[in-house]
Amino acid sequence: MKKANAHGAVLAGLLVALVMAAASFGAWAGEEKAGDPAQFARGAKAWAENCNRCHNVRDPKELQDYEWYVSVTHMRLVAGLPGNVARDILAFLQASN
Amino acid sequence: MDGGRLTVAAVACAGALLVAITAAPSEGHAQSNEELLRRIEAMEQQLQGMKRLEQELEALKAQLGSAQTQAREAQEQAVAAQQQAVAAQKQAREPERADAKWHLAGYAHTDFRVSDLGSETDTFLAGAFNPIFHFQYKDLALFEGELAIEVEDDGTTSLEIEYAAIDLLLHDNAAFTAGKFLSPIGQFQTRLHPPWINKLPDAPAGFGHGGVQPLSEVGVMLRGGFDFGPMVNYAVFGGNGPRFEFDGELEAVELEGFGSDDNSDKSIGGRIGILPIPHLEIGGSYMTADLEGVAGTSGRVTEGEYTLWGVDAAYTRGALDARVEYLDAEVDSFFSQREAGEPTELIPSTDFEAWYAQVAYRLSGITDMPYVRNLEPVIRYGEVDAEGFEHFVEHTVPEDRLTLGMNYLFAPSVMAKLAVSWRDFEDPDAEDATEVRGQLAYGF
Repeated sequence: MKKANAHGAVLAGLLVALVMAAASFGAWAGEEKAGDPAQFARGAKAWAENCNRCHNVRDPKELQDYEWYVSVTHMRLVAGLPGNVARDILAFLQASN
Repeated sequence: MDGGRLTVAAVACAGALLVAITAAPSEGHAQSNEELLRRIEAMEQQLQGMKRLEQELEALKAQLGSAQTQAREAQEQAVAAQQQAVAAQKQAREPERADAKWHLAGYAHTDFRVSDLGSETDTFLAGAFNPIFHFQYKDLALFEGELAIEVEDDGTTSLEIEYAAIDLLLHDNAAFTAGKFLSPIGQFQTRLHPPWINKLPDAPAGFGHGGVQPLSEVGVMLRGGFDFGPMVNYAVFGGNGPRFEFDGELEAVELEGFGSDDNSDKSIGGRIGILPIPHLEIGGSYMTADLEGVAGTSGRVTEGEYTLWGVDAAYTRGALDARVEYLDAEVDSFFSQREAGEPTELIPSTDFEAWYAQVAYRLSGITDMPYVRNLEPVIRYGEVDAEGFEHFVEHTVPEDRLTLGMNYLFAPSVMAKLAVSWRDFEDPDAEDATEVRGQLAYGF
Protein backbone atom coordinates (compact mmCIF):
# COMPACT_ATOMS: atom_id res chain seq x y z
CA MET A 1 0.00 0.00 0.00
CA LYS A 2 1.30 3.43 -0.86
CA LYS A 3 2.25 5.64 2.05
CA ALA A 4 -0.31 8.25 1.04
CA ASN A 5 -3.12 5.74 1.03
CA ALA A 6 -1.98 4.40 4.38
CA HIS A 7 -2.20 7.88 5.88
CA GLY A 8 -5.66 8.34 4.45
CA ALA A 9 -6.84 5.01 5.80
CA VAL A 10 -5.41 5.75 9.25
CA LEU A 11 -7.05 9.15 9.25
CA ALA A 12 -10.41 7.81 8.14
CA GLY A 13 -10.28 5.01 10.71
CA LEU A 14 -9.27 7.42 13.45
CA LEU A 15 -12.10 9.79 12.70
CA VAL A 16 -14.71 7.07 12.46
CA ALA A 17 -13.53 5.65 15.78
CA LEU A 18 -13.59 9.07 17.39
CA VAL A 19 -17.05 9.90 16.14
CA MET A 20 -18.38 6.53 17.32
CA ALA A 21 -16.70 6.93 20.67
CA ALA A 22 -18.08 10.43 20.97
CA ALA A 23 -21.56 9.31 20.06
CA SER A 24 -21.44 6.55 22.66
CA PHE A 25 -20.86 9.11 25.39
CA GLY A 26 -24.19 10.62 24.53
CA ALA A 27 -25.97 7.97 26.55
CA TRP A 28 -24.88 9.54 29.80
CA ALA A 29 -24.85 13.15 28.72
CA GLY A 30 -27.51 14.49 31.08
CA GLU A 31 -30.16 17.15 30.59
CA GLU A 32 -30.98 19.74 33.22
CA LYS A 33 -34.36 19.62 34.89
CA ALA A 34 -36.71 22.22 33.54
CA GLY A 35 -36.90 25.24 35.83
CA ASP A 36 -33.86 24.16 37.81
CA PRO A 37 -33.52 27.02 40.33
CA ALA A 38 -29.78 26.42 40.70
CA GLN A 39 -29.10 26.81 36.99
CA PHE A 40 -28.90 30.61 37.16
CA ALA A 41 -26.28 30.47 39.91
CA ARG A 42 -24.28 27.79 38.09
CA GLY A 43 -24.48 29.83 34.91
CA ALA A 44 -23.26 33.00 36.60
CA LYS A 45 -20.27 31.15 38.03
CA ALA A 46 -19.45 29.46 34.72
CA TRP A 47 -19.84 32.79 32.88
CA ALA A 48 -17.37 34.47 35.23
CA GLU A 49 -14.87 31.61 35.06
CA ASN A 50 -14.93 30.77 31.36
CA CYS A 51 -15.83 33.73 29.16
CA ASN A 52 -12.80 35.80 30.16
CA ARG A 53 -10.50 32.88 29.38
CA CYS A 54 -10.35 34.55 25.97
CA HIS A 55 -12.03 37.96 26.02
CA ASN A 56 -13.52 40.64 28.25
CA VAL A 57 -16.87 39.46 29.55
CA ARG A 58 -19.72 41.09 27.71
CA ASP A 59 -22.85 42.58 29.16
CA PRO A 60 -25.82 40.18 28.95
CA LYS A 61 -27.85 43.14 27.65
CA GLU A 62 -25.78 43.29 24.46
CA LEU A 63 -27.86 40.60 22.77
CA GLN A 64 -31.41 39.32 22.73
CA ASP A 65 -32.31 35.87 23.98
CA TYR A 66 -32.30 34.17 20.59
CA GLU A 67 -28.97 35.79 19.70
CA TRP A 68 -27.40 34.52 22.92
CA TYR A 69 -28.73 31.08 22.04
CA VAL A 70 -26.70 31.05 18.83
CA SER A 71 -23.71 32.94 20.17
CA VAL A 72 -23.29 30.65 23.17
CA THR A 73 -23.30 27.61 20.89
CA HIS A 74 -20.47 29.17 18.91
CA MET A 75 -18.55 29.96 22.09
CA ARG A 76 -19.13 26.46 23.40
CA LEU A 77 -17.30 25.08 20.36
CA VAL A 78 -14.45 27.59 20.41
CA ALA A 79 -13.77 27.23 24.13
CA GLY A 80 -14.45 23.48 24.33
CA LEU A 81 -17.20 23.83 26.91
CA PRO A 82 -19.39 20.84 27.77
CA GLY A 83 -22.97 21.30 26.61
CA ASN A 84 -24.43 21.40 30.12
CA VAL A 85 -22.07 24.21 31.14
CA ALA A 86 -22.97 26.13 27.98
CA ARG A 87 -26.69 25.75 28.80
CA ASP A 88 -26.09 27.07 32.32
CA ILE A 89 -24.32 30.12 30.89
CA LEU A 90 -27.13 30.63 28.39
CA ALA A 91 -29.74 30.50 31.14
CA PHE A 92 -27.83 33.11 33.10
CA LEU A 93 -27.43 35.43 30.10
CA GLN A 94 -31.06 35.15 29.05
CA ALA A 95 -32.26 35.79 32.59
CA SER A 96 -29.96 38.78 32.95
CA ASN A 97 -30.67 40.73 29.79
CA MET B 1 -88.04 51.87 47.29
CA ASP B 2 -88.43 53.52 43.89
CA GLY B 3 -90.27 56.80 43.09
CA GLY B 4 -93.55 55.16 41.97
CA ARG B 5 -93.96 53.34 45.23
CA LEU B 6 -93.33 56.54 47.15
CA THR B 7 -96.10 58.30 45.22
CA VAL B 8 -98.59 55.51 45.91
CA ALA B 9 -97.68 55.55 49.58
CA ALA B 10 -98.13 59.31 49.76
CA VAL B 11 -101.56 59.21 48.09
CA ALA B 12 -102.62 56.38 50.40
CA CYS B 13 -101.58 58.42 53.44
CA ALA B 14 -103.49 61.48 52.17
CA GLY B 15 -106.62 59.38 51.51
CA ALA B 16 -106.50 57.84 54.95
CA LEU B 17 -106.21 61.28 56.46
CA LEU B 18 -109.24 62.55 54.49
CA VAL B 19 -111.31 59.61 55.68
CA ALA B 20 -110.27 60.34 59.22
CA ILE B 21 -111.32 63.97 58.83
CA THR B 22 -114.79 63.21 57.48
CA ALA B 23 -115.35 60.61 60.19
CA ALA B 24 -114.45 62.95 63.07
CA PRO B 25 -117.16 63.75 65.80
CA SER B 26 -118.86 67.19 65.69
CA GLU B 27 -117.74 68.30 69.24
CA GLY B 28 -114.74 70.60 69.26
CA HIS B 29 -115.10 70.62 65.52
CA ALA B 30 -113.29 73.92 64.84
CA GLN B 31 -110.19 72.94 66.82
CA SER B 32 -110.04 69.58 65.22
CA ASN B 33 -110.24 71.11 61.78
CA GLU B 34 -107.32 73.36 62.46
CA GLU B 35 -105.30 70.47 63.76
CA LEU B 36 -106.16 68.45 60.72
CA LEU B 37 -105.23 71.30 58.40
CA ARG B 38 -101.82 71.54 60.00
CA ARG B 39 -101.33 67.84 59.64
CA ILE B 40 -102.46 68.02 56.00
CA GLU B 41 -99.97 70.80 55.33
CA ALA B 42 -97.24 68.77 56.98
CA MET B 43 -98.21 65.80 54.85
CA GLU B 44 -98.13 67.94 51.73
CA GLN B 45 -94.64 69.13 52.62
CA GLN B 46 -93.55 65.57 53.12
CA LEU B 47 -95.09 64.73 49.77
CA GLN B 48 -93.17 67.53 48.10
CA GLY B 49 -89.95 66.25 49.71
CA MET B 50 -90.68 62.80 48.41
CA LYS B 51 -91.16 64.16 44.92
CA ARG B 52 -87.79 65.92 45.10
CA LEU B 53 -86.22 62.70 46.26
CA GLU B 54 -87.84 60.95 43.35
CA GLN B 55 -86.36 63.48 40.92
CA GLU B 56 -82.94 63.17 42.51
CA LEU B 57 -83.24 59.41 42.29
CA GLU B 58 -84.06 59.60 38.60
CA ALA B 59 -81.05 61.85 38.05
CA LEU B 60 -78.83 59.38 39.90
CA LYS B 61 -80.18 56.55 37.78
CA ALA B 62 -79.28 58.49 34.65
CA GLN B 63 -75.76 59.13 35.95
CA LEU B 64 -75.37 55.47 36.85
CA GLY B 65 -76.38 54.42 33.35
CA SER B 66 -73.81 56.77 31.83
CA ALA B 67 -71.08 55.48 34.15
CA GLN B 68 -71.94 51.91 33.24
CA THR B 69 -71.66 52.75 29.55
CA GLN B 70 -68.27 54.38 30.10
CA ALA B 71 -67.07 51.38 32.09
CA ARG B 72 -68.15 49.03 29.31
CA GLU B 73 -66.31 51.10 26.72
CA ALA B 74 -63.19 51.23 28.90
CA GLN B 75 -63.33 47.48 29.33
CA GLU B 76 -63.59 46.98 25.59
CA GLN B 77 -60.62 49.26 25.05
CA ALA B 78 -58.61 47.35 27.66
CA VAL B 79 -59.38 44.05 25.94
CA ALA B 80 -58.32 45.48 22.59
CA ALA B 81 -55.08 46.82 24.08
CA GLN B 82 -54.39 43.45 25.68
CA GLN B 83 -54.89 41.71 22.35
CA GLN B 84 -52.51 44.16 20.71
CA ALA B 85 -49.92 43.58 23.45
CA VAL B 86 -50.14 39.81 23.01
CA ALA B 87 -49.74 40.17 19.25
CA ALA B 88 -46.74 42.47 19.69
CA GLN B 89 -45.17 40.12 22.22
CA LYS B 90 -45.62 37.20 19.88
CA GLN B 91 -44.09 39.17 17.04
CA ALA B 92 -41.15 40.22 19.23
CA ARG B 93 -40.48 36.64 20.30
CA GLU B 94 -40.93 35.20 16.84
CA PRO B 95 -37.17 34.62 16.30
CA GLU B 96 -37.01 32.65 19.55
CA ARG B 97 -39.86 30.40 18.52
CA ALA B 98 -38.25 29.47 15.21
CA ASP B 99 -36.28 26.24 14.87
CA ALA B 100 -33.63 28.05 12.85
CA LYS B 101 -31.99 31.05 14.45
CA TRP B 102 -29.14 33.23 13.33
CA HIS B 103 -26.79 35.84 14.67
CA LEU B 104 -24.57 38.30 12.83
CA ALA B 105 -21.36 38.90 14.75
CA GLY B 106 -17.91 40.06 13.74
CA TYR B 107 -15.37 42.75 14.28
CA ALA B 108 -13.66 45.69 12.66
CA HIS B 109 -10.48 47.62 13.25
CA THR B 110 -8.54 50.54 11.86
CA ASP B 111 -4.91 51.34 12.61
CA PHE B 112 -2.01 53.69 12.21
CA ARG B 113 1.66 52.82 12.30
CA VAL B 114 4.78 54.93 12.78
CA SER B 115 8.08 53.13 12.26
CA ASP B 116 11.72 53.99 11.87
CA LEU B 117 12.19 50.85 9.79
CA GLY B 118 13.51 52.05 6.44
CA SER B 119 11.20 49.75 4.47
CA GLU B 120 8.05 51.03 6.13
CA THR B 121 6.32 54.39 5.97
CA ASP B 122 4.31 56.15 8.62
CA THR B 123 0.79 55.39 7.60
CA PHE B 124 -2.84 54.97 8.43
CA LEU B 125 -4.06 51.45 7.83
CA ALA B 126 -7.61 50.81 6.76
CA GLY B 127 -7.73 47.67 8.84
CA ALA B 128 -10.42 45.17 8.12
CA PHE B 129 -14.07 44.37 8.51
CA ASN B 130 -14.84 40.76 9.37
CA PRO B 131 -18.52 39.82 9.49
CA ILE B 132 -19.22 36.46 11.11
CA PHE B 133 -22.41 34.59 10.29
CA HIS B 134 -23.90 32.05 12.68
CA PHE B 135 -26.92 29.98 11.67
CA GLN B 136 -28.21 27.34 14.06
CA TYR B 137 -30.83 24.67 13.52
CA LYS B 138 -32.24 23.52 16.86
CA ASP B 139 -29.54 21.95 19.01
CA LEU B 140 -28.38 19.93 16.05
CA ALA B 141 -26.30 22.02 13.66
CA LEU B 142 -24.45 25.29 13.53
CA PHE B 143 -22.93 26.99 10.50
CA GLU B 144 -20.09 29.38 11.22
CA GLY B 145 -18.62 31.58 8.52
CA GLU B 146 -16.24 34.53 8.76
CA LEU B 147 -15.33 36.80 5.89
CA ALA B 148 -12.25 39.01 5.89
CA ILE B 149 -12.83 42.19 3.93
CA GLU B 150 -9.72 44.30 3.77
CA VAL B 151 -8.50 47.37 1.95
CA GLU B 152 -5.15 46.53 0.37
CA ASP B 153 -2.14 48.81 0.04
CA ASP B 154 -3.01 49.59 -3.59
CA GLY B 155 -6.55 50.63 -2.71
CA THR B 156 -8.26 47.48 -3.90
CA THR B 157 -10.47 45.47 -1.60
CA SER B 158 -9.76 41.84 -0.88
CA LEU B 159 -12.33 39.31 0.24
CA GLU B 160 -11.35 36.02 1.85
CA ILE B 161 -13.09 33.32 3.79
CA GLU B 162 -11.38 32.97 7.15
CA TYR B 163 -13.50 29.97 7.94
CA ALA B 164 -16.75 28.39 6.82
CA ALA B 165 -17.74 25.18 8.56
CA ILE B 166 -20.75 23.19 9.62
CA ASP B 167 -20.82 21.79 13.15
CA LEU B 168 -22.97 18.85 14.14
CA LEU B 169 -23.66 18.96 17.86
CA LEU B 170 -23.39 15.25 18.57
CA HIS B 171 -24.00 15.66 22.28
CA ASP B 172 -22.79 17.53 25.34
CA ASN B 173 -19.18 16.43 24.95
CA ALA B 174 -18.55 16.35 21.23
CA ALA B 175 -19.22 18.26 18.05
CA PHE B 176 -18.22 17.21 14.57
CA THR B 177 -16.93 20.00 12.33
CA ALA B 178 -16.46 19.88 8.57
CA GLY B 179 -15.25 22.59 6.20
CA LYS B 180 -12.67 25.29 6.61
CA PHE B 181 -11.98 25.99 10.28
CA LEU B 182 -9.45 27.88 12.35
CA SER B 183 -6.53 25.72 13.37
CA PRO B 184 -6.94 24.56 16.97
CA ILE B 185 -3.14 24.52 17.43
CA GLY B 186 -2.28 26.78 20.37
CA GLN B 187 -4.61 29.50 21.59
CA PHE B 188 -3.83 32.65 19.66
CA GLN B 189 -5.29 31.77 16.29
CA THR B 190 -8.43 30.04 17.50
CA ARG B 191 -9.41 32.35 20.31
CA LEU B 192 -7.33 35.50 20.53
CA HIS B 193 -6.59 36.93 17.09
CA PRO B 194 -9.69 39.15 16.64
CA PRO B 195 -8.53 42.72 17.36
CA TRP B 196 -11.18 43.34 20.03
CA ILE B 197 -9.75 40.33 21.91
CA ASN B 198 -6.05 40.68 21.13
CA LYS B 199 -4.54 42.90 23.82
CA LEU B 200 -2.11 44.61 21.44
CA PRO B 201 -2.49 46.03 17.93
CA ASP B 202 -0.30 43.36 16.37
CA ALA B 203 0.09 39.61 16.63
CA PRO B 204 3.01 38.20 18.61
CA ALA B 205 6.18 37.55 16.64
CA GLY B 206 5.76 34.24 14.79
CA PHE B 207 1.98 34.19 15.23
CA GLY B 208 -0.61 35.37 12.76
CA HIS B 209 -0.23 35.46 8.98
CA GLY B 210 3.15 34.24 7.79
CA GLY B 211 4.08 32.90 11.21
CA VAL B 212 4.89 29.55 12.69
CA GLN B 213 1.39 28.95 13.99
CA PRO B 214 -1.00 27.24 11.53
CA LEU B 215 -3.91 29.52 10.65
CA SER B 216 -6.64 27.31 9.27
CA GLU B 217 -7.39 23.87 7.94
CA VAL B 218 -9.79 22.35 5.43
CA GLY B 219 -11.02 19.00 6.61
CA VAL B 220 -12.86 17.55 9.56
CA MET B 221 -12.56 17.99 13.28
CA LEU B 222 -13.98 16.54 16.46
CA ARG B 223 -14.01 18.87 19.44
CA GLY B 224 -15.68 19.34 22.77
CA GLY B 225 -15.15 19.32 26.48
CA PHE B 226 -15.75 17.44 29.73
CA ASP B 227 -16.31 18.58 33.27
CA PHE B 228 -14.54 15.97 35.38
CA GLY B 229 -14.12 18.41 38.24
CA PRO B 230 -11.25 19.95 36.35
CA MET B 231 -12.56 21.00 32.96
CA VAL B 232 -10.97 19.38 29.92
CA ASN B 233 -11.31 20.49 26.31
CA TYR B 234 -10.02 18.82 23.17
CA ALA B 235 -9.89 19.10 19.38
CA VAL B 236 -8.57 16.55 16.88
CA PHE B 237 -8.56 17.18 13.16
CA GLY B 238 -7.55 15.81 9.81
CA GLY B 239 -7.21 18.02 6.77
CA ASN B 240 -5.47 18.96 3.57
CA GLY B 241 -2.59 20.41 5.55
CA PRO B 242 0.05 22.99 4.64
CA ARG B 243 1.86 23.47 1.35
CA PHE B 244 5.15 24.87 0.14
CA GLU B 245 4.86 28.34 -1.33
CA PHE B 246 6.68 28.62 -4.65
CA ASP B 247 6.77 31.96 -6.46
CA GLY B 248 9.80 31.78 -8.71
CA GLU B 249 11.60 30.17 -5.81
CA LEU B 250 10.79 27.93 -2.91
CA GLU B 251 9.84 30.52 -0.34
CA ALA B 252 7.94 29.28 2.66
CA VAL B 253 5.63 26.82 4.33
CA GLU B 254 2.07 28.09 3.95
CA LEU B 255 0.02 27.07 6.96
CA GLU B 256 -3.42 27.95 5.69
CA GLY B 257 -6.35 25.78 4.74
CA PHE B 258 -6.34 25.04 1.01
CA GLY B 259 -9.48 24.24 -0.92
CA SER B 260 -7.95 21.01 -2.23
CA ASP B 261 -4.87 18.98 -1.49
CA ASP B 262 -1.82 18.72 -3.73
CA ASN B 263 -1.04 15.29 -2.35
CA SER B 264 -3.07 12.51 -0.81
CA ASP B 265 -1.40 12.74 2.57
CA LYS B 266 -3.51 14.43 5.16
CA SER B 267 -2.45 16.49 8.10
CA ILE B 268 -3.41 15.17 11.52
CA GLY B 269 -3.28 17.14 14.71
CA GLY B 270 -5.06 18.52 17.69
CA ARG B 271 -4.91 20.14 21.06
CA ILE B 272 -5.93 19.17 24.56
CA GLY B 273 -6.46 21.70 27.31
CA ILE B 274 -7.06 21.20 31.01
CA LEU B 275 -8.16 23.62 33.71
CA PRO B 276 -6.73 22.09 36.91
CA ILE B 277 -8.19 25.03 38.83
CA PRO B 278 -10.66 27.66 37.67
CA HIS B 279 -9.10 30.47 35.64
CA LEU B 280 -5.95 28.48 34.73
CA GLU B 281 -5.78 26.60 31.44
CA ILE B 282 -2.80 24.55 30.28
CA GLY B 283 -2.74 23.13 26.76
CA GLY B 284 -0.65 20.97 24.50
CA SER B 285 -0.78 20.78 20.69
CA TYR B 286 0.59 18.48 18.02
CA MET B 287 0.39 18.33 14.23
CA THR B 288 1.99 16.28 11.50
CA ALA B 289 1.75 16.50 7.70
CA ASP B 290 3.64 15.71 4.53
CA LEU B 291 4.32 18.52 2.08
CA GLU B 292 4.88 17.83 -1.61
CA GLY B 293 8.14 19.15 -3.06
CA VAL B 294 8.05 21.16 -6.31
CA ALA B 295 9.01 19.34 -9.50
CA GLY B 296 12.02 20.76 -11.32
CA THR B 297 13.43 20.36 -14.79
CA SER B 298 14.76 17.01 -13.70
CA GLY B 299 15.40 14.94 -10.60
CA ARG B 300 13.16 13.24 -8.12
CA VAL B 301 10.64 14.97 -5.90
CA THR B 302 9.90 13.85 -2.35
CA GLU B 303 7.72 15.02 0.48
CA GLY B 304 8.94 17.05 3.39
CA GLU B 305 7.69 15.74 6.71
CA TYR B 306 6.29 18.50 8.86
CA THR B 307 5.86 18.11 12.61
CA LEU B 308 4.81 20.68 15.17
CA TRP B 309 4.27 20.61 18.89
CA GLY B 310 3.40 23.34 21.26
CA VAL B 311 2.35 24.21 24.77
CA ASP B 312 0.31 27.09 26.06
CA ALA B 313 -0.95 28.37 29.38
CA ALA B 314 -3.25 31.17 30.42
CA TYR B 315 -4.29 32.56 33.79
CA THR B 316 -7.26 34.88 33.46
CA ARG B 317 -8.94 36.06 36.59
CA GLY B 318 -10.82 39.30 37.02
CA ALA B 319 -8.74 42.17 35.70
CA LEU B 320 -5.65 40.01 35.12
CA ASP B 321 -4.89 38.32 31.82
CA ALA B 322 -1.56 36.47 31.67
CA ARG B 323 -0.61 33.96 29.01
CA VAL B 324 2.29 32.23 27.33
CA GLU B 325 2.54 30.12 24.18
CA TYR B 326 5.38 28.13 22.66
CA LEU B 327 5.52 26.43 19.26
CA ASP B 328 8.24 24.27 17.76
CA ALA B 329 8.01 23.04 14.17
CA GLU B 330 10.30 21.19 11.80
CA VAL B 331 10.29 20.43 8.10
CA ASP B 332 12.54 17.49 7.40
CA SER B 333 14.83 17.48 4.36
CA PHE B 334 13.24 16.74 1.00
CA PHE B 335 13.93 16.91 -2.73
CA SER B 336 12.40 19.87 -4.54
CA GLN B 337 13.07 22.57 -7.04
CA ARG B 338 14.75 25.47 -5.30
CA GLU B 339 14.62 28.10 -8.05
CA ALA B 340 12.45 28.17 -11.17
CA GLY B 341 14.01 26.40 -14.14
CA GLU B 342 16.40 24.29 -12.10
CA PRO B 343 16.52 20.57 -11.38
CA THR B 344 15.46 19.37 -7.97
CA GLU B 345 17.91 19.22 -5.13
CA LEU B 346 17.98 18.27 -1.49
CA ILE B 347 16.45 21.00 0.59
CA PRO B 348 17.87 20.87 4.11
CA SER B 349 15.62 20.52 7.12
CA THR B 350 14.46 23.65 8.86
CA ASP B 351 13.50 24.25 12.47
CA PHE B 352 11.01 26.95 13.43
CA GLU B 353 10.35 28.28 16.89
CA ALA B 354 8.05 30.97 18.20
CA TRP B 355 6.92 31.96 21.66
CA TYR B 356 5.56 34.88 23.60
CA ALA B 357 4.60 35.82 27.13
CA GLN B 358 2.04 38.54 27.79
CA VAL B 359 0.48 40.19 30.81
CA ALA B 360 -2.40 42.66 30.78
CA TYR B 361 -4.19 44.21 33.74
CA ARG B 362 -7.33 46.34 33.71
CA LEU B 363 -7.07 49.11 36.27
CA SER B 364 -10.70 48.52 37.22
CA GLY B 365 -9.17 45.85 39.47
CA ILE B 366 -7.67 48.48 41.75
CA THR B 367 -9.66 51.69 41.26
CA ASP B 368 -13.13 53.01 40.50
CA MET B 369 -11.85 56.39 39.29
CA PRO B 370 -13.68 57.45 36.13
CA TYR B 371 -11.62 57.01 32.97
CA VAL B 372 -8.65 55.59 34.88
CA ARG B 373 -10.54 52.39 35.59
CA ASN B 374 -10.93 51.86 31.83
CA LEU B 375 -7.17 51.75 31.22
CA GLU B 376 -5.37 48.48 30.61
CA PRO B 377 -1.57 48.39 30.45
CA VAL B 378 -0.06 45.47 28.53
CA ILE B 379 3.44 44.05 28.19
CA ARG B 380 4.46 41.32 25.78
CA TYR B 381 7.79 39.78 24.87
CA GLY B 382 8.17 37.29 22.06
CA GLU B 383 10.66 35.66 19.76
CA VAL B 384 10.48 33.93 16.43
CA ASP B 385 13.41 31.98 15.05
CA ALA B 386 14.25 29.67 12.16
CA GLU B 387 17.34 27.68 11.28
CA GLY B 388 17.98 25.66 8.16
CA PHE B 389 16.98 26.35 4.56
CA GLU B 390 17.83 30.00 3.93
CA HIS B 391 14.68 30.88 1.98
CA PHE B 392 12.48 29.66 4.81
CA VAL B 393 14.63 31.50 7.34
CA GLU B 394 14.45 34.72 5.32
CA HIS B 395 10.68 34.46 5.03
CA THR B 396 10.27 33.84 8.76
CA VAL B 397 12.19 37.05 9.64
CA PRO B 398 13.61 35.95 13.01
CA GLU B 399 13.35 38.65 15.64
CA ASP B 400 12.98 39.42 19.31
CA ARG B 401 10.15 41.84 20.04
CA LEU B 402 9.25 43.73 23.21
CA THR B 403 5.97 45.61 23.17
CA LEU B 404 4.44 47.93 25.75
CA GLY B 405 0.88 49.02 25.26
CA MET B 406 -1.97 50.89 26.87
CA ASN B 407 -5.59 50.19 26.06
CA TYR B 408 -8.65 52.25 26.82
CA LEU B 409 -11.86 50.24 27.06
CA PHE B 410 -14.93 52.24 26.07
CA ALA B 411 -16.84 49.00 26.53
CA PRO B 412 -15.82 45.35 26.89
CA SER B 413 -15.67 45.01 23.11
CA VAL B 414 -14.83 48.56 22.06
CA MET B 415 -11.30 49.75 22.70
CA ALA B 416 -8.50 52.03 21.61
CA LYS B 417 -4.93 50.71 21.77
CA LEU B 418 -1.58 52.42 21.65
CA ALA B 419 1.64 50.42 21.72
CA VAL B 420 5.34 50.77 21.09
CA SER B 421 7.48 47.84 19.94
CA TRP B 422 11.21 47.41 19.93
CA ARG B 423 12.09 44.93 17.22
CA ASP B 424 15.53 43.32 17.29
CA PHE B 425 16.07 41.40 14.05
CA GLU B 426 18.51 38.50 14.03
CA ASP B 427 19.67 39.15 10.49
CA PRO B 428 22.95 41.05 11.03
CA ASP B 429 22.25 43.11 7.91
CA ALA B 430 18.82 44.23 9.14
CA GLU B 431 18.40 47.38 11.20
CA ASP B 432 16.55 47.16 14.47
CA ALA B 433 13.35 49.12 14.55
CA THR B 434 11.08 50.99 16.89
CA GLU B 435 7.44 50.98 15.94
CA VAL B 436 4.41 52.79 17.33
CA ARG B 437 0.98 51.43 16.50
CA GLY B 438 -2.48 52.65 17.32
CA GLN B 439 -5.69 50.80 16.78
CA LEU B 440 -9.41 51.26 17.25
CA ALA B 441 -11.20 47.92 17.49
CA TYR B 442 -14.82 46.94 17.87
CA GLY B 443 -16.23 43.45 18.29
CA PHE B 444 -19.92 42.91 17.81
